[in-house]
Amino acid sequence: MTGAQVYWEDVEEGQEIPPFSRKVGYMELNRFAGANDELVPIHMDPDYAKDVAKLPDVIVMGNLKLAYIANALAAWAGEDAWIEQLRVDYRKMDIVNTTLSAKGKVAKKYERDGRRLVELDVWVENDQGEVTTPGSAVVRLPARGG
Amino acid sequence: MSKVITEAAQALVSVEQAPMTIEIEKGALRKYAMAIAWPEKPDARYVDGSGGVIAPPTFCTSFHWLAPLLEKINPSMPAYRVALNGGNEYEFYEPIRAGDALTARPKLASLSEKPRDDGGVMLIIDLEAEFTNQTGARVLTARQRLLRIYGPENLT
Repeated sequence: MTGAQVYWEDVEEGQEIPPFSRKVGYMELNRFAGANDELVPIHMDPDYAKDVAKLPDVIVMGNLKLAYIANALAAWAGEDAWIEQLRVDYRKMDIVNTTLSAKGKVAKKYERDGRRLVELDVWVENDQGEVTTPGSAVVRLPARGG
Repeated sequence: MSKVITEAAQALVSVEQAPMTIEIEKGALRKYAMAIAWPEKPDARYVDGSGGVIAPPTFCTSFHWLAPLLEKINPSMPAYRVALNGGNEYEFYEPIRAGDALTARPKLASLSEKPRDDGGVMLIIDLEAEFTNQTGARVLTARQRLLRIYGPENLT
């Protein structure tokens, strides 16, 4: 759910955005698999994940973690904001039934070509506090008074 | 000397592939918005917007623009143990709306491989695509890194 509109003037470098957290079980994975047309055995079938792919268990889709990061950004920034860039690296696998939190922190605030922009470090961390999915984002924010 | 990259696959690097059309359906947007918000309700913009339903930013991960390119690369490449998503990068220019018809222009950006401790190889496939909508406006640039793990059993 989107919060109150954030204005560029009110953003400070170093501030953190509210996290978006979910415990990612088979309900979350299967709903996303159907919606994203990503019906892949390593995300659905524990026997395949362990015996064939030699993974610890079924793993969470990178695309779902990316969506959670975008959810955190959209909820913080407000309806009049626009995500211009989003980049993530999937450095570590996240296992089914883990609670994941998508987070962000303002790294830089600047203007370019008349656009008021905020660059953020974004990431997903697991319930052990490990960063599994680091990334960055650039969000365009409105100015107060339009 | 490359263990898995074939000349046929290497020859595809930087060659722009045939454009493909992606139709944006309202029901698909709704289903995706519900899935990424679950178990909470989806953002209203993505299911019932007064200005028309717009796509969540990451809806683009459902576009399957990779498939035709991978179908060209795969035949000459050896079987692997597992494929993993290495990372995504997107630049968003304009909203994508229900009813839009997007044109994707994909290409293979690069192929490389790294040795693994188990004697296998990790193949890195970098792909990218430009997307325009039915008015010709650029809406999205997408970059995808795929990782294919080859264990020793795949290299014999």
